[in-house]
Amino acid sequence: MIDEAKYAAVYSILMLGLIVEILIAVDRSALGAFADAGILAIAVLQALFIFMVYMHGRYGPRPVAVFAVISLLTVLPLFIALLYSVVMPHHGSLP
Amino acid sequence: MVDWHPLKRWLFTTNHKDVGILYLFTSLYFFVAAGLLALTFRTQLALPSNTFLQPDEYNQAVTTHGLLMLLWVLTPLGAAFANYFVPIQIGARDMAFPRLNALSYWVYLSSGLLALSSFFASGGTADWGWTTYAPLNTVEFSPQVGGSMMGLALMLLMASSIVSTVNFLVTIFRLRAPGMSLMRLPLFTWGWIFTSLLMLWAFPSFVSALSLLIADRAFGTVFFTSPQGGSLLWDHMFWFFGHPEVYVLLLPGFAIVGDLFSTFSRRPLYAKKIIIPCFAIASILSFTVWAHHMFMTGISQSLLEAFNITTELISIPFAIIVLAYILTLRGGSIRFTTPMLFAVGSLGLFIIGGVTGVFNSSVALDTAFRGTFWVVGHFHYTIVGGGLTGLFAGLYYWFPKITGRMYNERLGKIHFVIYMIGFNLLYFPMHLLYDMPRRIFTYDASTGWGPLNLLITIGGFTFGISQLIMFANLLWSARRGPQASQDPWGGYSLEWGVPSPPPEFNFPEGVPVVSATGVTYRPVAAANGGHAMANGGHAYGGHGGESSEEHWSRWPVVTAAGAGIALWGVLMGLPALILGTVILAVSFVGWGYESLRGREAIEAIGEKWPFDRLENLSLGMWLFIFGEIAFFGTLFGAFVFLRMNSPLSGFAWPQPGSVHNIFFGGFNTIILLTSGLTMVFALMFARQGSYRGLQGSLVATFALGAFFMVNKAFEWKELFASGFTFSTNPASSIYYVLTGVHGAHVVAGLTALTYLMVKALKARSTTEAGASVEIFGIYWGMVDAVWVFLFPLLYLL
Ligand code: HEM
Ligand SMILES: [Cu+2]
Repeated sequence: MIDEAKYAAVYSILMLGLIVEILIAVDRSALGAFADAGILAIAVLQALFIFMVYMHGRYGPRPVAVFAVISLLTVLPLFIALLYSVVMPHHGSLP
Repeated sequence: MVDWHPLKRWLFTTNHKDVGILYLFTSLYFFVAAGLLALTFRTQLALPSNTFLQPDEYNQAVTTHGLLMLLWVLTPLGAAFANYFVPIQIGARDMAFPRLNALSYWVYLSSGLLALSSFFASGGTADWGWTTYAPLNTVEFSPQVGGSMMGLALMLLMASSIVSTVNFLVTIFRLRAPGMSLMRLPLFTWGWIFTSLLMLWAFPSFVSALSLLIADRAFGTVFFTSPQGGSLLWDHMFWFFGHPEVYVLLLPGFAIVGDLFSTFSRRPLYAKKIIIPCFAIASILSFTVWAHHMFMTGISQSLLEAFNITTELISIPFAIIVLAYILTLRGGSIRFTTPMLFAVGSLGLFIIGGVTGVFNSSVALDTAFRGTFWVVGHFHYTIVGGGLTGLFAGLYYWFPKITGRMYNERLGKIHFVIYMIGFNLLYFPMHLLYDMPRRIFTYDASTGWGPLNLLITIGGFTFGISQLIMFANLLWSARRGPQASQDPWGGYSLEWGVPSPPPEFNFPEGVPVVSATGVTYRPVAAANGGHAMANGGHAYGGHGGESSEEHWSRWPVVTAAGAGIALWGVLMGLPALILGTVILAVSFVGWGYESLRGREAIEAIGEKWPFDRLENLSLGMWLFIFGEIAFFGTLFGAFVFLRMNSPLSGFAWPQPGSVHNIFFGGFNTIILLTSGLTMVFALMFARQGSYRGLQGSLVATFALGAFFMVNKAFEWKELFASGFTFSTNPASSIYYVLTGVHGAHVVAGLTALTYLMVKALKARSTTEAGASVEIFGIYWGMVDAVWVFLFPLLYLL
């Protein structure tokens, strides 16, 4: 029973997140510059809930959290560098 | 014991030692092929203005040499030893998933054959250099279909390696004998842990890069042909894989060197407690240095400085390891047998390569060295000098264990001497050619590069011929050599405690129990506290009832053949594509029907820290998900890059809602997320023992997943009709690739679901289905989680 309630609650949270995302996207004026960040933050939260509640199976969320953090850490530098290499000024090509 | 027909044995075996031998022969075969290619282009370069090869032939030879050597020779040669020895070194009977292990091998072979066959496609094979730089890799500059075929072969190889990686990590973490704590593992097994982790994270990003490349070449997307993506995007994606990859090449051989130093000086490895963290630090740092291959791409100066620093940092752990190796020898009574000579040689050559590497890491110096033979010299000293020489040390070292016979020591030493002379003649002068560009097929006599090039070519032939001595020695000795004892070297790891060659299940005397004072063998029942073992009570030694036949599977080879033929067909025509797909489908059904008894069973004893609480399958699935995160993460990275680069390069990314229908996408998101809910309900019902609930939830999950795909297809059709096609712009290209690969994951999931439903139907019991439902649930959750990002990225932002 406890499980059922937990899964249903997470489902509601996911749906709520989806609705809020769409509302923000349709009318950006409310959040202005933070609209995009808000949408992304909701996506991150949704993924976290899926990871921690839907994916952990029998052994509890802790190992899952560790796995998730490690693998995110490995792609993080790529993200940063990709961003930087377009956003920062180029020094131009050398002779 | 092995009295079945040899062909049957080698085709259908799942035994880790047999698979190891298959890897060994195949990788050495590719070694010869790639070596011959090198000799052809070295012949071309030997003299100024030579016309031995046409420019295009030269480019193809260099490209294929590089790709074959790195991916089809070095790593698989390491994998050969890992397959054969890692299970023994940890005290296991076999790998955690023996059938998957066989599958990895056959897919490796099939990818290699695909790569070789690309030579015979019209226009030849890939000719863009092993780094496959854009825009050389685009249709405009390399229209030949063989190039795409090489791309697909690489993808297939990556798939094989990722599966193998998961298998090894589960094996090492979950199947260790009692008392075999992580710190007691030999360095080679440690090296393979880090190699596997590097492959697990780096190879998926190469798969993403190749997906974009194949999409460009076969479907007309514009990733590397548009200014928004272009060569900078390829550079990032390739080298994010490429730098960890060079450590993948180094670590197995480098680790062998450590074990051999210890064995042949009869001293424990100096500061093993420091060496292993150094391996770990170097592995982690290897993901933060890739832009040192991009110093000349014009990216921001401060970014370059950051990578300059990380690259210099990464030499520190290596320096510590080298120091510890050398200190291991201090005060020992060193025996300079052939394996030890190769180990010493490997370390010496690696040090030279490391020193030239530090030169490269300086942005200032690299500006001069970039793209010259200096760099070619650097990486051959590290990869061939460090990596391959270390693996050859391992080959001599383990030869008596694998064959039960001794090689000829005198010939081994002669090989070593000629090897070293050839090697240094071949690669050292390259440093003196620091002003000769590395990617030219000929040069004029007036440049003055002629004499050194001739010397290099002479070195190349010397180096090549020296290998013939080894092949002759080993082939002859395998049949005629004197009998080897169980432990000719006084080795300390578990393989030296079993007969040469080891019997089918490795430990004839029972479970090895490791303690500080040594190894004892206990009969199974005692070691297991009197309980029957998880695999149905078969003796650990394998003499008790489990016959070799039970270890056959005919499906790995069939699956691999199907995959190879299907990919060939993608480029060469529908009949082959259909044939390959049919073979694949048949093999999948075959896998499903094959009984698992005695194959993927786990020992109920032994060391499992830190994964005591997970099962083998769930750990395997989680590791696979790591790989998936790297795969999708890199694709998301590409998305971010294209998106951010668009305004800077004059392309207006479509406004949200202008191309994609937000509400339709939102509706489909609801469908997929709901299938996530029904999937966790399936697991819950399985645990509660409700058969109807389980079956109902699985059917609901399937229906929702299928509905999601139908909607997706509808969306694609509408978009295409409105003129938003693969090639319209970067936004359309990335949209189709992201939703396409995600859709492929959904379809793969639906296929697996069908199995689950049939299985649950047949078993009529929830407990039996429960474990598979749990594993599948993890996968399905991942598919949902990816979409949770895709929806806002593609529809809302
Ligand atoms: C000890 C530290 C090392 C440092 C500081 C270092 C640094 C570098 C740098 C900066 C480059 C780029 C040079 C250029 O293209 O202009 C480079 C190239 C390369 N390094 Fe290293 N390296 C080191 C060790 C290794 C090792 C151990 C391997 C492989 C086992 C390796 C393999 C390569 C390869 C394959 C390339 C050239 C790739 C290409 O352009 O085709 N390096 N190295
Ligand atoms: Cu590098």
